[in-house]
Amino acid sequence: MSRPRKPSRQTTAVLRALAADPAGWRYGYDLGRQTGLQAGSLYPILMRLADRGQLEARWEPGSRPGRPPRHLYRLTATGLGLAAELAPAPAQAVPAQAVPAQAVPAVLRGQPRPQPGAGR
Amino acid sequence: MSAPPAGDPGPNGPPDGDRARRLLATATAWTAAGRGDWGRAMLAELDQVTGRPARWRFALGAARAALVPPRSKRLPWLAAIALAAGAGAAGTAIQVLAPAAGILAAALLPGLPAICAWAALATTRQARRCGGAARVVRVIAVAGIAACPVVALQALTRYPNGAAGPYTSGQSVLDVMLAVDLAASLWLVLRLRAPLSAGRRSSLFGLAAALAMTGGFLLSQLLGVPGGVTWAAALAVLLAAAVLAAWHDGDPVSGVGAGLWAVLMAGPAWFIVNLTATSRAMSLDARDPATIAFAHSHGATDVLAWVVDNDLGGAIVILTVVVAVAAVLIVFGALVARDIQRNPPSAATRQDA
Repeated sequence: MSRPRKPSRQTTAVLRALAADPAGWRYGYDLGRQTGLQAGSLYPILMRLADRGQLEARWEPGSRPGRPPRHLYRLTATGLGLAAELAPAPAQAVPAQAVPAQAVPAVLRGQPRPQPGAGR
Repeated sequence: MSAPPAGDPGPNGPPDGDRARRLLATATAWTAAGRGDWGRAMLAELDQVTGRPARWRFALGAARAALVPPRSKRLPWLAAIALAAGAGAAGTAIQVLAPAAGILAAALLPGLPAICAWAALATTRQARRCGGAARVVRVIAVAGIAACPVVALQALTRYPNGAAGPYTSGQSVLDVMLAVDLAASLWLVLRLRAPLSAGRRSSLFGLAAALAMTGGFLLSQLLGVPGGVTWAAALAVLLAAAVLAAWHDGDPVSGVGAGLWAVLMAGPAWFIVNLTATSRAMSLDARDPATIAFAHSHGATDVLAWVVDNDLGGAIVILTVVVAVAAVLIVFGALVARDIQRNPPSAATRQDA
């Protein structure tokens, strides 16, 4: 069985951005702004993640009349697992509740966050 | 992903003058069937982007993602191996069975369509997820395209002495034209939204037009109807299908899709009918003194073979021209239907009142 390839830098950035709020649903445009990725790079990544069952998508409920509903994304359990694998090795002995914010793996904090407009 | 909630204006209805949105709407209309939700999602996100340069950047990037979505993992390799093996076998068969066809035909006729089929399949994994009826239609369309070179080679094999005929004279150019026709048709069949699948039911108009055109070609061969009349009727049917489909869906893209399906199925059907059901016409041609004299003046020793060669060359040229003319007519018809749909005569009458 072949070992899965390590995700690209851009895919890792998307995974980190989504893992920052595992329960929350995110818009594509906001993800693009946060990661600094253009639509041409971001959407193929989202499609691949969805194809592999690492991303779930749904349509925004109750959109305003006259405006198309927006698509929302969040990681599945598999996707969160992948995001956790990409995180730097945490101090495993420390209980989760006692971990200070600075010690949380960057992947779970969605760090680093680019400056507004960076990379655009 | 599920379909968007009811009330979605969808990709129809870009604000007038918003060219970035028009570009993206057009690109997403051509995206693979299984990626339709992604197209709508990108269109909805474009509405959030402000500033002209940023909108264009987003629209161009999203259009690229819509037209060339990510490939599946295993399919490219499996498909590449299968298609390369198939193309190799077909090329060898051409060389063995019809050596007069030449190495260019042996390489291009199976090779170019195989490359296009691979490109289409490798980027549209989810496009294959369509209903049984849609799959049958696709299989029929692919079979029709695949039968074209088989019928052409059969004619060359049966009458191998047509040297100096119109096909043989311009063989290289005609081989390239036929290969490009077949490759482009195959790519479209595999990439287009499947008819009879969920959504655009107006593709039925395309299928109905294809059936009507094929029946018309058969009848015209049997009854000896002049070619001009047959073609005029076929183009009228095609235009009507495009207009009806666009009007029915309120979307010119539907008209283009219906027209394309009609051409993709009727074009190869005409090619096959023309080359297989012409024995009566061929025997008449072969007894025609003018044809005999013309064939001899071009150095032909076998008039019947020369007539076959002539028919084959003509069929390839006509197939190419028909595809090009059909494309123009389809777009024209779809745009007319869009205008009618936007400004229905009844509304205009009310405004006048």
